[in-house]
Amino acid sequence: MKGSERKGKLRKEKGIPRRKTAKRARIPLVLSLAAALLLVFSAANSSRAALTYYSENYSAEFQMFDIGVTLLENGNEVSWRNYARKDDEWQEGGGELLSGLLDGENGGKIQPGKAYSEELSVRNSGSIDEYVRVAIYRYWEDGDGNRVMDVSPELIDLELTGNGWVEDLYASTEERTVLYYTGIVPAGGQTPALSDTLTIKGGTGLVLADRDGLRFMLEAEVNAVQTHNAEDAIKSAWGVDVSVGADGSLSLK
Amino acid sequence: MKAKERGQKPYASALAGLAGACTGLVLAMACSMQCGMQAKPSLAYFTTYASAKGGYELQAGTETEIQEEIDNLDKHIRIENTGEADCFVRVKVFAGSVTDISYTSESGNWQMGEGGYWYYGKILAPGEMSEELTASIQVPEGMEDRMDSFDVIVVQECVPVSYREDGTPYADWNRKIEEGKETGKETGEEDGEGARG
Repeated sequence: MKGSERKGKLRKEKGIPRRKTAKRARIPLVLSLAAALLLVFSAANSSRAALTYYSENYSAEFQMFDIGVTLLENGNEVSWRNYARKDDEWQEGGGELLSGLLDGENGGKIQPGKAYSEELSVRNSGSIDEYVRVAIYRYWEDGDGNRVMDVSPELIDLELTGNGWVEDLYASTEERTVLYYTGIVPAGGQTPALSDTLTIKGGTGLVLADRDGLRFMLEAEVNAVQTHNAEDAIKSAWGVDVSVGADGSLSLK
Repeated sequence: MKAKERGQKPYASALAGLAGACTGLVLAMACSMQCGMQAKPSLAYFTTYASAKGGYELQAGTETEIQEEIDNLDKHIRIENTGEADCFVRVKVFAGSVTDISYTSESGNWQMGEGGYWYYGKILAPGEMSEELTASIQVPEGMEDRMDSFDVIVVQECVPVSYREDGTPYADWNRKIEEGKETGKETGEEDGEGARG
């Protein structure tokens, strides 16, 4: 009894009420709860961030299968068609061949016999490796844009380099030349030029002496196909039988 | 109730309906799978293409005309390009075997060359006229009284300008082309025109 009296006296002396002591005991509990909650939420946030990160990686992986091809003339892009999977659309565009042929030349006149620079090559503007072929058409048109059949395409002489390109003689005609590039064109890579000069033969003026307004035309069409399962892919896409060597080199059967 | 009347159990028709629905669903799935399978081969390989074309009109059709004036025993010859393309020209003068002809080219652009022709050294543009070549007949002695009976014939030829690979112009007088193809080099008159005077 004596002791308790002393304790009560002491509290009274210090002026500390008993209930306030109980409240003080709950504060650490609330704080630790809040800390635990914060911890949980912060963990949830970081896991969300991690998901977003992987999701970006995932879509980037899909871009790896975009095929694309660009025709180059004297190093300039003339025509292209590239697939963009992220937008699910083909990006295509281009202009005309030979548009810069007469820049600074003889008052804008073609000089028969003169060799004009005409380097045609192909760039892989996609993100997968590919095989390419080019079909070149040479012909004459009249003033209305109709094809003229009785003037020889041989008067339009495109000098081929043969530099890695082979001609498919079965597919070629007087008007059309089909060339296959024998190697793989890697993503972002470029083939050597398949041609170097274009010449309208010297005597052409005589042939056309009584023909007004004839135009010579040069047309190039590039086809590209994946390298994976190439023999079947080429047969399916181009309808030709090829064999692919161990080093990836293409040869016509 | 009708099922009962036909002596069938009521759940039998429900089962039959369910079976029909299932069959329909399976058929629909099969059809859609078939369609999917048909569409797939065209998507199976990655392919693409690009193409471009271009061309130029060729100035062709060379045509020339002789412009000549007769002044006593002199014939003043000039050639005009009446075609649409640049060309080279040459002329040859015939006046019988007994008369000598002397030539004068004040400009110096006419030069005697291969085959007894006089070659004009410059390119004639469409509508352009060459400089003058004068051919003078030397009447043989004792024939002065027959001066009016001399015939002087001028033959002129033109050929479209050809160019070497480096762009140097030249005239190829030996080239002959038939039916749209070059048949080889032969000597001949590609585009001749005579004039009597």
